[in-house]
Amino acid sequence: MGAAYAVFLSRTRLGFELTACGEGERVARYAAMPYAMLVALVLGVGGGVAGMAGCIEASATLGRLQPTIMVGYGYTAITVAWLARLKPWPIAFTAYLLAALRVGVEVMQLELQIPAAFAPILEGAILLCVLAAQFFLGYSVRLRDPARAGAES
Amino acid sequence: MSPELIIALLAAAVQAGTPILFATLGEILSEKGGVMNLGVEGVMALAAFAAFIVCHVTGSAWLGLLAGGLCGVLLCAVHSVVCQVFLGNQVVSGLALTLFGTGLSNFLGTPFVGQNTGGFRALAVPGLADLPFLGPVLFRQDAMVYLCYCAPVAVWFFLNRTSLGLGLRAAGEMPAAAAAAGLRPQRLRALGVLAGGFLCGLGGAYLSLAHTHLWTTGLSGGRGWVAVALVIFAFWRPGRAVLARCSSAGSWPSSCGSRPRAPTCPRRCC
Repeated sequence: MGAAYAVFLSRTRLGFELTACGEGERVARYAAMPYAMLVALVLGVGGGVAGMAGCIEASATLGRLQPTIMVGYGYTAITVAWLARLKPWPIAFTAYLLAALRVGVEVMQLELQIPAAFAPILEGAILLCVLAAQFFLGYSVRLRDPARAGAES
Repeated sequence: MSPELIIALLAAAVQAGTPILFATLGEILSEKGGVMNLGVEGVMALAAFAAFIVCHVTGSAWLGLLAGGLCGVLLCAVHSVVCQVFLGNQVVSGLALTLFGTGLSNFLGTPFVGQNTGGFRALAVPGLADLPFLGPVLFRQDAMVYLCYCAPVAVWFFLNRTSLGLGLRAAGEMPAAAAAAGLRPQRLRALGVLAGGFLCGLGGAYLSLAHTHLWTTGLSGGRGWVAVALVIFAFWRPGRAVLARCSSAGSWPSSCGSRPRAPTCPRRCC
């Protein structure tokens, strides 16, 4: 599934057009890509995949329907996606990491009586740090040399 | 329905709408400054806990209220730093704030579940409380509800009648033009986010100090999301927020059963 996703995004024409639309709407429009159609398609596919996740959880993992079937999995998924920097391959890895966090927190609750609300705290903090740290992907910190700065001005 | 039941229902609706109105006004301030804050839910949850714990320790409801507001400022400062300094995605940062705030309030609040606190009590306005129909509905509430009557006017006055409010709106609409006019858009935006956080914090504080008087997990119960929706419904105007709140608050007291001091209102009367 993940592999198909990666191939679709990087090896097919539709996948390329989607990426282009995500990067810049105006450029995509200029290249005569059907922007609105692509956005609608992406939303539909995304909803379908998310629905499939819910379907698997209800029918295979739990085997029954409960009112609280999804305990914040959607929010965890957002963290997973951003931690993987929105690329298909690392998602498998980050999903595994955050799943380990959830399971670990449950064990901690059983053994050390630490409330399970610890997991969302960590997830929120991770997400905030990832967002803040992405800044440094585009910009690098450079210490200004005081002598040279004085000479320039 | 008997008249008493209708009065009790309307009074409960006024109470249920108060935290939502505070949060809606906060979100309006924030969005007028050009920063969308989807963390309202988390801010309200954490502020509710901060207000509860301060009121629990010191016994003063007003100190608790202040703590709730400051907690909102603190949490929104994180949002402001991520969005403005590090240019992070506003939507995702807000969602992260929601996760963090609700998680932290549930985590810290676990030992206090079910404990009572003093908080605000109902006090009747002398004179106005004896009005035939409006008296019991509007003027036999607690101090925060009266504060909430003034808040939309204050926010409206700030946004539309002060130069700082004009600067805030300019920084939200077009930062480049604001900068050209000699303003500092980034500072104004930060001000909007922080002031909005304070109001959201007040809304959260209302939940634990006046609405339930006790701590339970998940106290905010989706009210933050309602506030975010109401901002759009109110079209980013404080005056319309009151209308939006009136129309939506009516549905809340009937559906949320977490009020131990519920008046004669049955839970599902609609």
